[in-house]
Amino acid sequence: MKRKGLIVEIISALLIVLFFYTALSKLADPVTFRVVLGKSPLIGKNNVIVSWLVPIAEIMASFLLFVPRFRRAGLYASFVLMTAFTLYVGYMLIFTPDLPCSCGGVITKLGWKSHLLLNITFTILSLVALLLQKKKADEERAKKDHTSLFLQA
Amino acid sequence: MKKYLFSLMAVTVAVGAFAFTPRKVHSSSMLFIYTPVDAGDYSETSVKNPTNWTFTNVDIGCGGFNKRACQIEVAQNYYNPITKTMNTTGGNAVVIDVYQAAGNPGCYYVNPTGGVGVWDATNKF
Repeated sequence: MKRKGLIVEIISALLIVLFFYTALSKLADPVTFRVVLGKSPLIGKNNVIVSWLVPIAEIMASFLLFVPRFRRAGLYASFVLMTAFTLYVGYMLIFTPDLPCSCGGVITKLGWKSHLLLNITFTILSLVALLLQKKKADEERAKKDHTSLFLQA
Repeated sequence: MKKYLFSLMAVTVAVGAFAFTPRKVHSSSMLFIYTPVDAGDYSETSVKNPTNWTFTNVDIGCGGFNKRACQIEVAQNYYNPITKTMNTTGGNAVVIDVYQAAGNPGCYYVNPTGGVGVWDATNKF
């Protein structure tokens, strides 16, 4: 059980690094991020709202992952965000691969294909952490129930 | 405190990585207008040649009629702020994607969706 907890903590830490770093990079240069999003056929004129929503969502997910009490919610948020990002990058790779990437910081230099691979990896990691966290919680509940039954007897 | 150890390390790494990421000089895209040596030269080679494009920060309003090259918007990391030109070498080299104007042999315009490093292109009549 300890090992499961450690794996969840490590994956959560990796997700915090990813979300917090990319959110800071996007907020540091909001004009470029907004202009690049505006070129995307999927986002287009909604670029202003999306350019604020994405880093805010990333910071919120980082906060939820940071606090152990909210980690499960953070992992759900991470999985949803990473799935959305993966689908978006997949779409861009197929339909408009010549547009510059609107990712944050050094991830911009990865290119669409490497970015897609990175996103798939993090989506899988967040799912693994979510399942492990759930299993750990179930085991803890079962152990608690067993102890209370033993004490009653 | 021990419960927060990994999370604190993660935040430190993220802030550290952000602090050491080189910042961009400007915060917007760069505009270039088509200025060939021979003013009437709209051949494929000339339009594709980055040296025939001059940096400007003014949208000159080309009209958007896809016949002759006029203005392009280049992503900032494809722009050299020292020489005020587009990058022509390395990983961030601009590649201008062109089309031939219908019924006008030798007259080319830029693909309105751009090319590599080109966000946008506006052509003229």
